[in-house]
Amino acid sequence: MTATRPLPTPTRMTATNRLSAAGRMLLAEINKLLTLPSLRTTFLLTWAVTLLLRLVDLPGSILVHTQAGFLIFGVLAASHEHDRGSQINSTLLAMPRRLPLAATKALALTLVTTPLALLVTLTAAEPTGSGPGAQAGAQAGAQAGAQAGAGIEAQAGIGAGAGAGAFHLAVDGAAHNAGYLILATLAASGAGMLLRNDVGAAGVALTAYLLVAPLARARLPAIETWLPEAPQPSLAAAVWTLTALSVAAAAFHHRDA
Amino acid sequence: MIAIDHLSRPGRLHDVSFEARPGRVTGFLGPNGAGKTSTLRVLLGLDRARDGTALVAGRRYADWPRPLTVVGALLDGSGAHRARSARAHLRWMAASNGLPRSRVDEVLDLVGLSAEAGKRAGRFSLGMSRRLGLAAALLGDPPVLILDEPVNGLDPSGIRWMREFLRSSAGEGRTVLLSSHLMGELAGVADDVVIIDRGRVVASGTVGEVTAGHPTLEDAFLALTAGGTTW
Repeated sequence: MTATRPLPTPTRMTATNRLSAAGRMLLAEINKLLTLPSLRTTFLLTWAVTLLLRLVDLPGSILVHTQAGFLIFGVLAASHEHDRGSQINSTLLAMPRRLPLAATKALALTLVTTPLALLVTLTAAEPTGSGPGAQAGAQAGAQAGAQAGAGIEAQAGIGAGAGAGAFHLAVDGAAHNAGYLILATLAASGAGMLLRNDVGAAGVALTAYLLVAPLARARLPAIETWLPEAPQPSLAAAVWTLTALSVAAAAFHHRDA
Repeated sequence: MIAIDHLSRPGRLHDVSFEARPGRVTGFLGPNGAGKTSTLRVLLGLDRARDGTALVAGRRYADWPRPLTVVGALLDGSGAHRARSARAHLRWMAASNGLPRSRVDEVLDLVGLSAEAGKRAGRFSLGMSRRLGLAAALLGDPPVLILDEPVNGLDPSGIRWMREFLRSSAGEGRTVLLSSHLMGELAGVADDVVIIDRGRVVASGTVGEVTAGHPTLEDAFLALTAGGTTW
């Protein structure tokens, strides 16, 4: 700041890209998520822990534990706006329409989380087989293999079919479980947006998913269908996510920044 | 042009009305807690008013499709997350309003932060934070500038730079509205003055009009507000 330089001419600002308002918002929100160091660290730790638990051959689902990492990821994605420095002011100055912004934030987080969730579920390699998709995949793979091998040698064909089936089973199980992790991440981001504080929101999200849901499931079978259960995506998991996001968006819309 | 009309907010603002015109620097003066920041936050769509309207170039701030190209705003702090680099912060802001990436380096250069562009915002000094905030305000080359206490935290050379910057911005025809609780900052920079005290506008007009009958702007300010008695 030593001397006043002339400002560029205003005409320059009209030569901008042709993205729609929604596209510009999405680009900005994805950009924010990808350049936040704490999200990168959280994901790498989550992945490392998943790999570690896989290697020690833990009984039961690994993802029941590593969903904690995704819950933190979701909280930080939303609450970082309110950290010291008040980035939320910049966000609302740049994108002042709050409900479209809240929806865009959820979409951006889904797009960023999807490949990360897939990477973790593939690492966990839990073809639970309980999902209908996983079973259908295994059967289709076996059938296709059997048909292809019919003309040559039935035995070899069935072998190839079983291999393809196992592969489908693994990928299908991973995709299935990733769906659960994405839903949990989005619900946690709702807590982050609502509470505007990373520690508080992390406390709420972790308590709800790691303590309340499993305990209530064990003690209160009557409400079982309304409780999410890792790592299965379910109507209950979707309802929890939609509720968290809706309540957070309504608060975001109505209160002062 | 900025038009604030009968703005009210329980306990904070009482029927606040004033205008800021293009090509002029309007100083929004008042003691701490008088309602300056509150007024500016309502004007920028960050906080809500119970009654009244606050318009920028005839529209509410939130109704502008690409607001950064209309209004440049500088609020408390840098507005950047402390773990993000200055460049990364400006890049997402540019993307949000469809501004070219090249503009990020231009504004960093303009405020003298090019060498620190890759540094995390949390490591910036107070003065550097203000410059980063100003860089963000200038991204869209806006015709309206709204600055809350812009010289807070600046060293003497920074203050001089800011004064020259504000004068030249108005000289280019921009509407400049800045708040301050320090009189010395505004004398010689502002064309018009609005004085607010305890949520009410107590005087407004050109500097000459408001200081008429008082030796200096500071004397006028202290006479019009309860400033002399709160110490």
